[in-house]
Amino acid sequence: MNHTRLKNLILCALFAAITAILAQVTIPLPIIPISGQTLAVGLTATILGSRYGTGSMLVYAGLGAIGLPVFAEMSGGFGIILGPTGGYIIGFIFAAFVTGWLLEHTKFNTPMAIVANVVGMFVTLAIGTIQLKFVLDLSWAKAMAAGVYPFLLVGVVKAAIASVVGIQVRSRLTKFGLLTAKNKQPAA
Amino acid sequence: MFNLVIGQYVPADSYIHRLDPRSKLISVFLFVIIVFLANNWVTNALMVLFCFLGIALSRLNVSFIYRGLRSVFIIVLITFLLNLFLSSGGTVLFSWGFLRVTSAGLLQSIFIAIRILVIIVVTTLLTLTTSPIEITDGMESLLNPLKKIKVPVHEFALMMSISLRFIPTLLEETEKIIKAQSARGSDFTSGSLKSRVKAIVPLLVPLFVGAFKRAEDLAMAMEARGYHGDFGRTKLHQLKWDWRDTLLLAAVLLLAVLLILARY
Repeated sequence: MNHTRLKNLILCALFAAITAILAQVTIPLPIIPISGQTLAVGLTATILGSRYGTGSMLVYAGLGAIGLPVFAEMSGGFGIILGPTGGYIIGFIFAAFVTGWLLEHTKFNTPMAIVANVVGMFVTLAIGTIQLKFVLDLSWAKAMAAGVYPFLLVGVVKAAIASVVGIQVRSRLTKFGLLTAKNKQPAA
Repeated sequence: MFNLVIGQYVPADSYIHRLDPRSKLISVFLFVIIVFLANNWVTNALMVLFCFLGIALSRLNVSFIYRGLRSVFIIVLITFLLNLFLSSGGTVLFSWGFLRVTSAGLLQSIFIAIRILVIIVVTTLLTLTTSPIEITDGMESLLNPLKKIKVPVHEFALMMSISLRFIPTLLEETEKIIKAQSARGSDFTSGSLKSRVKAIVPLLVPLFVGAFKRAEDLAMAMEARGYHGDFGRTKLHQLKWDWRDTLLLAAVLLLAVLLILARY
């Protein structure tokens, strides 16, 4: 195992830990308080890219699956992943991949990051709603009303924050030499 | 926040605690599948009995189990009501306006509620009696065959352990950053949407930049101590499979056979 790979694996682990912490935080914005969980997913994908972003979300889901209260409102356990809202957790894994992939195949700048994060949000909502529908045996219309519409506006705000912060972090890291500007993935 | 790291684990010395994490993981996995075989009173009673037996053998206070269930009661209740009013068949027991409760609907909703509850009890029992590190080790060992098709099982287990180790550290760091930025006059709780979003940026940027520096240091430290991946690595805590573990698996399989015989 070379140094860069080991470092990237550790980064995945640390980003999963940060996601676990941010998931417990609610950011008090006027009218729409936002949870840090999906924000952290967008940030992870924007900063780490598709491959390690996906890895990080897998670790996050894994931590929850073995019973650590890392999901929103200090919940955790395998039951949560199989439960009605578990699809959103599984959705994070795919959302991180799609967001990172889009950025890697275009450009790491703020407008592109907003587009990629909004697409990622739809991936999360789609997978989450499908599981919600089947676990609770709802109609599609009801599942959409419960699982998609309430999150759209908040989701766009989160995507914007994730993009602004993510791109800033990337530029800082490049400045400190912790991330090479041309590289798709963080390098040593 | 101590809770975030040890999770729900309650250290004790019981039959279930002493089992190998691998046998517990396999049993829970099988149980979650065979639960779907239950479709009448006898089979549901068998599953509930099995759960009670597990709780008794774990010597855990029932309040711990209750704590695990508390968060899902609402979901179970919603599912129960949805099924109660939306299923049809059998005789009508009660009707009011467009709401109708039938005997078949009542029976079905009770069975579905039992199914969800036993799944949660069993998975809670696993995480109550097995520490996160044990579960990670057990999963790595069970998924070992996947290494043949190049699934990075060892790396995944390593990442889980590092994540576990660093949650408290990063939490402390987050609190420190919030205090430091507040001392510099950052205000996250008032002002317009735009100004608050702007206030979040100086919180998150140091957190992520710090993670990159930490990763660099940790990778260096691990390599200096001779870490070179999975190959030839030894473990401090060896997993041991003994007759108790075989007995547990036999019990789960016996339950499966009984369920198949007793269902109609």
